[in-house]
Amino acid sequence: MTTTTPTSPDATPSSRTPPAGSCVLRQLRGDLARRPLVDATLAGGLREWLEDGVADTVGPSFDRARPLIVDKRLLAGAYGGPAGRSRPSIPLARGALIDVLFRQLVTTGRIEAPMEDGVAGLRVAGGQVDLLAYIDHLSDSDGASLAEEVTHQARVLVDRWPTLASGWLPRTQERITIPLSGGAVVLSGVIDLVVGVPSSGRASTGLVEVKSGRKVPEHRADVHYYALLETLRSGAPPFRVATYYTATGEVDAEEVTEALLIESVRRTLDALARIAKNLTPASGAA
Amino acid sequence: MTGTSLSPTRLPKARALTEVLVATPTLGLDSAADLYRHLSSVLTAAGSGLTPGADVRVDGYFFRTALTTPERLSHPDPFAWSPRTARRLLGLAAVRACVSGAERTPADAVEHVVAAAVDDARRGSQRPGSLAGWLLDLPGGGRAVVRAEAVTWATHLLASLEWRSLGCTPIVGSDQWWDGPPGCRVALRGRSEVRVSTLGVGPPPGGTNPPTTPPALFAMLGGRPSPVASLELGLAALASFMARPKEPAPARVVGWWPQCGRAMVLAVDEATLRNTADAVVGAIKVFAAAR
Repeated sequence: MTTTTPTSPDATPSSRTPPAGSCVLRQLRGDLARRPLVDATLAGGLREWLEDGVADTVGPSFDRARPLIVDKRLLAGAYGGPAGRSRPSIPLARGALIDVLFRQLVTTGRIEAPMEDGVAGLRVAGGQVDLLAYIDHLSDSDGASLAEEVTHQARVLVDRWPTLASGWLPRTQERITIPLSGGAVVLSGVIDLVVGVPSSGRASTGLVEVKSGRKVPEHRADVHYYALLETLRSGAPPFRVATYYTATGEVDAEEVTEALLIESVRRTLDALARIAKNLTPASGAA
Repeated sequence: MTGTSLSPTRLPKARALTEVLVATPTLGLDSAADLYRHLSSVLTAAGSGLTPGADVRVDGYFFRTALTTPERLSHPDPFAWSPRTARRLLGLAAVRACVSGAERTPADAVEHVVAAAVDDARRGSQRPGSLAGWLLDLPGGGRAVVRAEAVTWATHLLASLEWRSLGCTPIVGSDQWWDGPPGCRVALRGRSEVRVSTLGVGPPPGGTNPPTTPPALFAMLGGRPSPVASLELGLAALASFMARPKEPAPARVVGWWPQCGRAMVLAVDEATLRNTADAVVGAIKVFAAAR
């Protein structure tokens, strides 16, 4: 019996990779010699810390049948950012279309008709009825503006995003859910791209978040949170997290350290404490 | 009925899952034929109270819904193809190709599986409403999302086990159906992604051939374990036992939830099968009351 022998992200990328793609690959791959051995107690320790913090804050206000879902929007909302799903808008439509096109590029290696492909992808994926209706009813000028921006960013993607060897096991829209407090609180995230084989004792996966808007410092907190989720799920931290900006082709990548994960736990628990202060005892709602 | 959780911190996870999946069984069935007759009778009787035309197929979705949110049974969602409903079929075909050595990676395998399905549909060799027909009708952007979803699913399954340690060739995609005796209005569908042989205990004294070892089932599930997760795993064991009454019953079912990194091991013995059958009967009663 033969089995798949995936290569790790230190394998040679495809020869079709353009120079800009090589630069992105270097940033995603990082320094191979610095990929750390996994501390087998780290994930358990982080989980215990979170369990204690949740029990002291939001845990008692929720239960398994009606859990508090903690995603990046909820955490941002606790610090004054927009919480929950925003109403349909041009930036939201652009972001959703670019997410779909990024997924298409990673999977098929090509984007031929950005707007058509993006809308078709959103339509089949489901759950975007309001956004699709918004796109369908845009004025001619707004529709043209959206199409122009999506087409531009799709071109940047095609020109600058590297072709990942399939042996890196690239998988898109990777959903992670970490139940805490017996399922009363669920840490949740959907990572745009995960590469690398599961850990056998050394950090081996990389996480990429795609942003179609401009770069802001808060984006780092998002990928740190995803690194925390991946650590809790797999028992091993990723070796690297990155945010890829499709408007410019820029990559913001960093190594995942214990300090980064600890800071993410602190931020998560601080946000949950803020949320707990606004809960009514009976409803569990703000 | 409870399952045993695996340590969430042991690495590599695939090794831990594989070892527990194929481990030598410690439980077994004493009188499988008697148990089969009893369970067949119980399940057939449960269907006799259904209104005419209301035959029931108990699969994982029905079972979980009946046990946790029975109000949804009265207005079930009609089935429609989507990236989520298609990913398992495509993903299983892709993993089968990788395990057999025909393909190297899930991405390559899914690409070929989807292309072959679309070719089949073009030739008109698929029935209306088939997955292949749906794929053929999708525009390029939609088909890309379907492929992406299947690649992610297949990668999870391929990465969850150490395939070389599974002994003889595992069966990838090992769902089991039991339709009952003639007139029975209850059907069972047990879902499992992989069926393997467990490790034997060696040949019996004086014997030359090792005894046939019972199989073990591996089920990969979405989300996180529900409150009735052990019963869901039990359904896979029950359906397998009822569908193959002349073969050894599964020794265990290992459930794996890759989204949260949790695993549960359900050892299968007579009590497990009886308890699961009782829960199925309860689910059928709930279904009958909801109609």
